[in-house]
Amino acid sequence: MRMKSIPQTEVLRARKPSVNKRVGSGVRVTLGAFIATAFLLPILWMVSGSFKDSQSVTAIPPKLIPNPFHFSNYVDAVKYIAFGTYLRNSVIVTVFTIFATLLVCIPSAYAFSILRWRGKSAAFSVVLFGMMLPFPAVMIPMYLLFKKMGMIGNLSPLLVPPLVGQFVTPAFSSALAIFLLRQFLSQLPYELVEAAKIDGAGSLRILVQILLPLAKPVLTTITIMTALSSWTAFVGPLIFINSDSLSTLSLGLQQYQSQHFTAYNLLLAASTLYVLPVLILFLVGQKYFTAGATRGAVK
Amino acid sequence: MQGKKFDERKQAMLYLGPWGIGVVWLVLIPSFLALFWSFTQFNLFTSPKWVGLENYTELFNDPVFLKSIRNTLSMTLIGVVAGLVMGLGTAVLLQKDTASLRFFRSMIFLPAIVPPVTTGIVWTFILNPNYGLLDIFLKHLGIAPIGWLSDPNFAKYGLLIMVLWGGVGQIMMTFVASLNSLPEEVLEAASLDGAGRIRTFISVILPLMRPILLYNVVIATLFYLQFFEQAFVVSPTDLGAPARSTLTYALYIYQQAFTFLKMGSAAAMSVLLLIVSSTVIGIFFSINKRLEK
Repeated sequence: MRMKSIPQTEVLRARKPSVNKRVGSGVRVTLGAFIATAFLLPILWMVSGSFKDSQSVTAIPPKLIPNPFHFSNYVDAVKYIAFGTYLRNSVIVTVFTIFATLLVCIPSAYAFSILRWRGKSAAFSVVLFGMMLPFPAVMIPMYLLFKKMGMIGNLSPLLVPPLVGQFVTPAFSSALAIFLLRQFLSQLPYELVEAAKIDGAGSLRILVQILLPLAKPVLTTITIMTALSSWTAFVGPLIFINSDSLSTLSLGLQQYQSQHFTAYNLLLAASTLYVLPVLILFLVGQKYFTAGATRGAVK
Repeated sequence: MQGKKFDERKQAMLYLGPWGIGVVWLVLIPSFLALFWSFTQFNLFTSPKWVGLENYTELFNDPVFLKSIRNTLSMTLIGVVAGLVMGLGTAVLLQKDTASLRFFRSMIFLPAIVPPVTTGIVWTFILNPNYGLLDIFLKHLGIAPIGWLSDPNFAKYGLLIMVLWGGVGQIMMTFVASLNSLPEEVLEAASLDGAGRIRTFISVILPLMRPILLYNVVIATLFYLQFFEQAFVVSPTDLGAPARSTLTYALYIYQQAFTFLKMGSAAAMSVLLLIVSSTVIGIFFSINKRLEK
């Protein structure tokens, strides 16, 4: 701000690329490659260990490439724990959560952006607050409430909250979904809505036929982030689910870890299977993940 | 015009209906119940009995409660500073939009999508003092094996390594987005001024990044105040092990409720957490407002 009165010509002269910058890029790539490898290594190590036998998984010196590859670990891991049951529960919860979140958050974001009513900004501050509210602060009263309502002992504590726009995992809350979509919708030119109104379109038609097609990228981000946080959720299932047959994959794997920590190779194989869908999703839709990560942080 | 406005208000209420029910049912009611229950004592099988402030006085005389606060605060302090420094460092290093640097950024971000349970499983393996990769690597540097998760002096750091592995990428991404949206004229003007790179960074770029720095401090602080998942997973059968050195505040809420069955104390701890985090959020909003002006 202090230096706004600088003549344009001088600014242009300064833009010449310096030698300094070219030297810098070699350092950036080398150092960057080193750091990136360090961050990637734990994932590679997990996959590598999942193909080793129970002896060589903890052998010293460590070997990154298993020899031979024990593909049978995957078969054993799936048989050893109730993988099918956990998988089914995880899929049910995730698919349900995605649909419920979209179903509740789209109309809410619409009401918070396009529709005009008094008290809108005050009500929206509840969303902002909800975005940051710590789940551990409400988990115990929530548990007791669910217990009183007879919801403990089935999957409903994980299925019902998304239906009313609440989410039992702190990672990506439905409040954040409302926030992202609202931000997108409020930036659209209001003339779009005006024109549709003159054409006699009702508010639902404006939302479904005009606004939602434009909002596809945001909706994809919300879908992916919701899928991710629902699939990886741990605290919610831990608190609300009390039987093995209702466990999701995160809960099942954790219990397996604390009971059979000796069969590390099988545990790593099961973990790899658990992460695989997320990794595939990441490779396909990486930009949506980073859009979700930067959230509303940068305007 | 007047009729139309009224109409939109009615419609807004309709569109917000399900979400509104959710807020009342799952945010407001549990918060007020926590407040009410914090003045009572009961377990899962008895009904609440009014005891006034007894839960609170008991908690503040409980050395484990105080330890969980100290643990949480020290991990918050170290974790926030380390996360920000590493996030900012990698962002500055890899900020440019070339194919290789973009690829490295994705690799650093990748751990952010790994489920906490998997993070716990993989890292307890890597941090093991007997066959873990990290200690084997350190041994080559001449450093004796460290019990990253078994030595009470190191367990907090072991845990933070795990968390930072998953968290740095996200922080970096927000910084990269912010760095790339800085006004070009200001940067050019600074270099014209003859300011060196480091001075430019400290006196021109960092002040411009204040909002995003603040955002990351707040998000990270709130994360550590409610830190639960990885801390639970590394030692599920003996929470906070070794020697309660990793017992976080949120873990102790869980323990109060499900190990000791002291629902009143758990509710009191929930209320305190609500108050502290609401204060942090409130401060954030007010500073943010001032920065925007």
